[in-house]
Amino acid sequence: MKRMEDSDFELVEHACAGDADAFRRIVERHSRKLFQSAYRLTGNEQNAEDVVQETFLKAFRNLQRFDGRSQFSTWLYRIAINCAMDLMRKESRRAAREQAEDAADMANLATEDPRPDRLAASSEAGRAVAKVLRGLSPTERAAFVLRHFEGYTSGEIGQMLGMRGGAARNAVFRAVGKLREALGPIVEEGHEATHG
Amino acid sequence: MKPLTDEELILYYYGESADADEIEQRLESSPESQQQLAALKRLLNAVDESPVPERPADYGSVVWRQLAPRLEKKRSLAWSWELFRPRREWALAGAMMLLLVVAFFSGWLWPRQGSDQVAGLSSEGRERILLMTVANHLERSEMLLLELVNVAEDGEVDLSIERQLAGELRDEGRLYRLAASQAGKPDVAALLEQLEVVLVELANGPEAVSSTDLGELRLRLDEGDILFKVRVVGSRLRQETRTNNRSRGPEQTPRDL
Repeated sequence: MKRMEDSDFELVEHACAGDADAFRRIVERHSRKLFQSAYRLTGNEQNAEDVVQETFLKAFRNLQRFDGRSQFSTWLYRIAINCAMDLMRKESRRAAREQAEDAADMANLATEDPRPDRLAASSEAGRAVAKVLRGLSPTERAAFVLRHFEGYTSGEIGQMLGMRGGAARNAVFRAVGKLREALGPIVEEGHEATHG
Repeated sequence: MKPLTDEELILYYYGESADADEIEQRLESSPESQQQLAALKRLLNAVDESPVPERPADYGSVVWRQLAPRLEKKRSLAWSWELFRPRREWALAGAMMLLLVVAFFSGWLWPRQGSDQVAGLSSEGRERILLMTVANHLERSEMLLLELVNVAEDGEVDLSIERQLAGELRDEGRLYRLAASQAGKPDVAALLEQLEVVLVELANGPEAVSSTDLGELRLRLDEGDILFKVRVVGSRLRQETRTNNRSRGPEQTPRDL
């Protein structure tokens, strides 16, 4: 007979009662998805790994506070966002230096050598997108990732980031504006090259 | 009809328009807006192509192997702390003992005339209770200080557990300081006062501190020799308790109260 999967809520209850194996199963169940989200938020593999670790560490310490009113994955994701935001803010000085380099790279991509043919390679376009995302402010980046990749509404994003829904919406607008500024010409060149 | 703004197009794309029907009507009547929406879709579709490094199917197990030792460390502190907490069944007796300790030594309760016995306890019995409770308090404080000294500096340090423990020790320590002062133990009261400053700082501080802040806290502990003093005085009080126990008669123990 196939064993029924324990729900997150049941695993949390067991983990709160001191069952380390239950928490291991929580970690194993959510790690890959959390890594993907953390990578989107931080744009860096090592940072994403750190965010995954810190998220589970904080979740473990605060497991008693999970009241079951939201899905466990949402609760976990909120912790991950806080970890990622903290990390991004800490790195903001370093990012500012890199941003100048990235901006130069993007200028090259957009003007000096557009070569639409190379944009047919999705991986290259993807790398260009990743560069632009890295150049966004932590708030813009988090708001955009939550909206575009995770599908949260502006109100939900505002709650997660500790701001009003309108401010979250504006952060998304700014992020899309920057993406358009850096990538718009490249994307359009590629589109025209493909569709004549 | 007015063409759509960038903001309106973005909200529409994400399904967050306040009035989607109105937006669609304006789209139908504006080829310019239609082109802008198509361009926005191409842009955001390109964003979807940004690669995310793959993780193997057993990634969760890898994360767990790295995480487990860190969880164990936090858990062992919490568990060892639990050993020093009064058990639930003794909670009431412990609270009564604490009240009595404070009452005896703060003058709220006085011996009957012609006798130094209060509630069946001699002055030696009362002192023994004080020594035991303060020795236990110092032992728990020593554990907390040791944890602070030994915690790994790995970027930001989470002190949420230590903060909670410091708050409990601070509250108890204030009562013991008062009792020790009233009982004519100025050296013990002085140490408890010095310890209280650290506990207050820790209890009122943030849950997470930078390694720099932690380094400064350690420096203050070092400069005041607090850990050393806590260890020495705690050891002395435990020794005095043992000596008193050996020499005392069949008197009531605190747990008999």
